Amino acid sequence: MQELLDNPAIQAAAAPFVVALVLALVLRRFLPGGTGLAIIGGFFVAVWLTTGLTLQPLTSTRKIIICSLTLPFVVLLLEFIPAMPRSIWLKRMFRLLPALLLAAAALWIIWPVVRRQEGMAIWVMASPVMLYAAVIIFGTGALGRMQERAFSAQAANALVLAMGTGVTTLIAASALYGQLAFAVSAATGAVIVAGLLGSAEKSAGPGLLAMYAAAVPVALLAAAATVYAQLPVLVLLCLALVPLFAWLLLIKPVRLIKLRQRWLEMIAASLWVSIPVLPAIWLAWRAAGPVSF
Amino acid sequence: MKKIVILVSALLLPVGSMAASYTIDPSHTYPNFTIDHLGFSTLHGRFGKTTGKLNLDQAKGTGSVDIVIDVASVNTGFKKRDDHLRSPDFFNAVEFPEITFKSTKVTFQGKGATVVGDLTIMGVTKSVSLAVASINCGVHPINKKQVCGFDATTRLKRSDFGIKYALPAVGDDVNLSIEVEAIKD
Repeated sequence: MQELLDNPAIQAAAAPFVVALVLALVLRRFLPGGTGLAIIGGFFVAVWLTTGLTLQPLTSTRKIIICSLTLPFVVLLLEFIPAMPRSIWLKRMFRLLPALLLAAAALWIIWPVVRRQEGMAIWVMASPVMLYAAVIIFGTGALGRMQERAFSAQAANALVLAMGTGVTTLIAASALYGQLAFAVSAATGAVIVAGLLGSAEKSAGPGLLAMYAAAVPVALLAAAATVYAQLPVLVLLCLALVPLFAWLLLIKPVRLIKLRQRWLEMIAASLWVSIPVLPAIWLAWRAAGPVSF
Repeated sequence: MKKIVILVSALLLPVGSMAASYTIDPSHTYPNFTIDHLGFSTLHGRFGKTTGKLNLDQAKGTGSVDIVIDVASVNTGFKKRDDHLRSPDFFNAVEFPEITFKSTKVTFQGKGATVVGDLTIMGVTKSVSLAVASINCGVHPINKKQVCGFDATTRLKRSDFGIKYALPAVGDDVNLSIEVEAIKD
């Protein structure tokens, strides 16, 4: 049994998928945000199997795990704040809060290295990391708030972002980061399967909590991989285009993919959203050089 | 004549009887490690940059060792693997650039010693015991400086320090040996 649990494919794919699928199928009956909890549950199992649940010493990887398990809830709460003020300007400002929170989280994660830098080097190192985390969460939030026929676009964004992060970090950075990102994609895949199996309204998306539950860990993993490993910063630029490609699926004049069968639309949407991931993989591959174990 | 007698006497005195402080010679101090690779073979590696201090007083039976290892200097003879060892999968060299050993107790046994101390890897500190077969002190034949050297060995589990990647395929037990030479201050 232990041998089975030590297998990376079980840790990063099978276990999070099964756990997330069961949670998604069970929780959606009682809880509107159940799919989000399913992704967090799947990720939690992967963490338990790969790194263990120890939090001391507080390494950067453990900071990513803590943020991944807690920040989706915080970000979801921040979503309610823009509804409060009457001023449109204030509403727009409050929409930036999740992005600012993720930028701060990214800075916290790379802080042990940033504090050893001086002058401009601090900003050269920190700004792409913080900006990427902010852009991914901002894009994910904007996409998550669109309700009409949003399922395939939202799901494709979450799935492709997680898989793209998994592939690029595995190639050019760290197998552990890759495993954790693949766990998110497996859990997201389970939620999508549950959504496609269910009798939910065609327009229903996976939910904001699910969107954030998938986006927070992968945003932080890719961002940290540029500092703690050798993931090229340009990879972040490519991956940051994923929410934009997903959003293009929804804007009315374009409506690139509109198919009768949801699973077909899901596949087509995922292929479309994967376009910016291809150069990201190429960049990671080029940076990594020949791989040998 | 008197001066010559004093000089000869000084040279003949066992150097271990004097308390002295030494600075580690980085060009002759290398922590080496071996680890099982997938059950097929034993992988050898070393860290190329090490600094530190020794204090020895064999007469009194006291001493101390402080060693700082530059994690980024890890070398297994294959750059790609070394980059992987520096990544968060193993040593996370960017976040934890140093491995340190600070002795807490040195017990001399004949020519050798047992050095117990705190080994810190990736922010995790564990007590380990280094076995030293023989501490060899004398005048360096080329630079004429007073030098002490020894080989210290121990075995540890990498999982104790949070390095769990690829367990159990890549071995958990790590044999660590440190060849040390230090020059008297």
